[in-house]
Amino acid sequence: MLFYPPNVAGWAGGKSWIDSSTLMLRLKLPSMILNGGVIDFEAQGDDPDAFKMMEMNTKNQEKVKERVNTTIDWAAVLSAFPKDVTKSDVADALLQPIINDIQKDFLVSPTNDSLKNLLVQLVSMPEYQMC
Amino acid sequence: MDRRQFIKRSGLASSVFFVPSFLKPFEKYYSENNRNIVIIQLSGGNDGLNTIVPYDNDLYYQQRKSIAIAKENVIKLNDEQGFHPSMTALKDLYDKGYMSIINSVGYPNPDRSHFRSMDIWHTATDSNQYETTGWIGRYLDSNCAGCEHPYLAIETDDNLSLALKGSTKKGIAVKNVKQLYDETREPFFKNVLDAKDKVMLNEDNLGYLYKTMIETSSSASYIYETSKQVANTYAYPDTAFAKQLKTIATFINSGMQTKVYYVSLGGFDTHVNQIATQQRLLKEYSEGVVAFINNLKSVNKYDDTLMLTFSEFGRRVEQNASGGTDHGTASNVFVYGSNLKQKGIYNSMPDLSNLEEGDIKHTIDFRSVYATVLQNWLGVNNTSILKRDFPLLNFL
Repeated sequence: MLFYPPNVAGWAGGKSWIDSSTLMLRLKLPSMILNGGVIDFEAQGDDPDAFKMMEMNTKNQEKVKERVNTTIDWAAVLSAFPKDVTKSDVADALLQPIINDIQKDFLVSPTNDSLKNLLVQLVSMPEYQMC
Repeated sequence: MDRRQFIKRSGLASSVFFVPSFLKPFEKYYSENNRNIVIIQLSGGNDGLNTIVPYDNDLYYQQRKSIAIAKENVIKLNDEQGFHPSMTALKDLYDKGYMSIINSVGYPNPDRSHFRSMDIWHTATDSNQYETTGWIGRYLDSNCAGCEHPYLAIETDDNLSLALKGSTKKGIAVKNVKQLYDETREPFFKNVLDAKDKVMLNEDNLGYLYKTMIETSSSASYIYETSKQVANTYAYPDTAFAKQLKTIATFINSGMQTKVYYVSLGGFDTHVNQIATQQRLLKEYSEGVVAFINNLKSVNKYDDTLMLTFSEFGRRVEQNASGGTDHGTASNVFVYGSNLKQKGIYNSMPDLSNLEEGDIKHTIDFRSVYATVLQNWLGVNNTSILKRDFPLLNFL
């Protein structure tokens, strides 16, 4: 993508980087690099569609990992965080705009128990694009 | 059959069988409303003189010693001009009156840089003006019926061209419908969107991201859900370009409300060894277009579709020393439709004895082509979109 600018002048600045398909790719890219395209997340309620999507993503995880071919040293990443850090602190540190309570609620919910999952979620948020 | 299918099918059945007779007069209105236009961009600057060849002109052969198309190979259209031999597939459409060829289309004070000239064609501005919105984008901005949906203008590519970007509205770029649809269905993204609030939407840049995400999500599901209802088994040539046209034909056939489709075919920048490259590209172009039109005809949708082909500029009349041609100015534009007012060759061929610094002088401003399409095909006021009055042409 980066190597196919719209014309020989290269990429224009500002919002012109963002349109329908480039935005979705940008949002999806972190999870593809970090976690084989899976944003581990417990969907609320009993949305069968969400459940199916999660299942499909998990099924494809190994394939995506193979194609993206990245190795993440999670032990090193996770050990960089102080032991007593709260999820809320991590969210505030990674996202520049202030997220609202509903978003914070589901990010820091008790079912969201792994720091690794939280990191993947945070970098997949539109807010993270603002950094 | 589950509940969802049942509702879908019964809905379909009722609309087919129980159209009240008092609604019949509106059918014509609806069919006019289904009009769409497919714009094909030949990127890189297609050599118009070797595409529509002035085979009866000595000046042409004098200027192009090694790359001219020999008279006997030209597919003759009238006593002066004919197709490049690899456009043979188009001859049948031409004979049926489905094609109009407009010669010498350009704009005053032409710019020979690819990106600048392409920007001028996309924004429809004068060559000394800079604009951040495209002409299709401004059409979407102009409050046309249903224009709040990005799927009103679809580009079958990975990113959206300037032409389709308006100031408040924009089209949608989609190469692989299923993939985009799946991306928008990611449960995590759904949750993020559900949690959005007014503050986020009103914040300038973040709001733009959220709005784009929402629009993408709703458009992708509209496009996916609508287009999956028809299976397109029509045979197309095995090229990337034909594949894109096939996708568009499927969209049109599925009854999608899209007004503008945008496709590009690149590689026309033939500075070196033009013959082989252009031969391949024009064949790819012609065979794709022919398959597309025949596909639409086979499902009785061709009457709703107009097609337009342009390139950012033509090439210089005189060839260069590398068996190629360099950036030029005015060139030809093709219009395809089942009901063209003026069929065949629209205007006189370029005057090769009256050049401007070795380049063809434009006799028709490309914005007149746009104005005609906007006014007489899409049925909107062209002046507000093009910001000036351009004389309308007679092909529609």
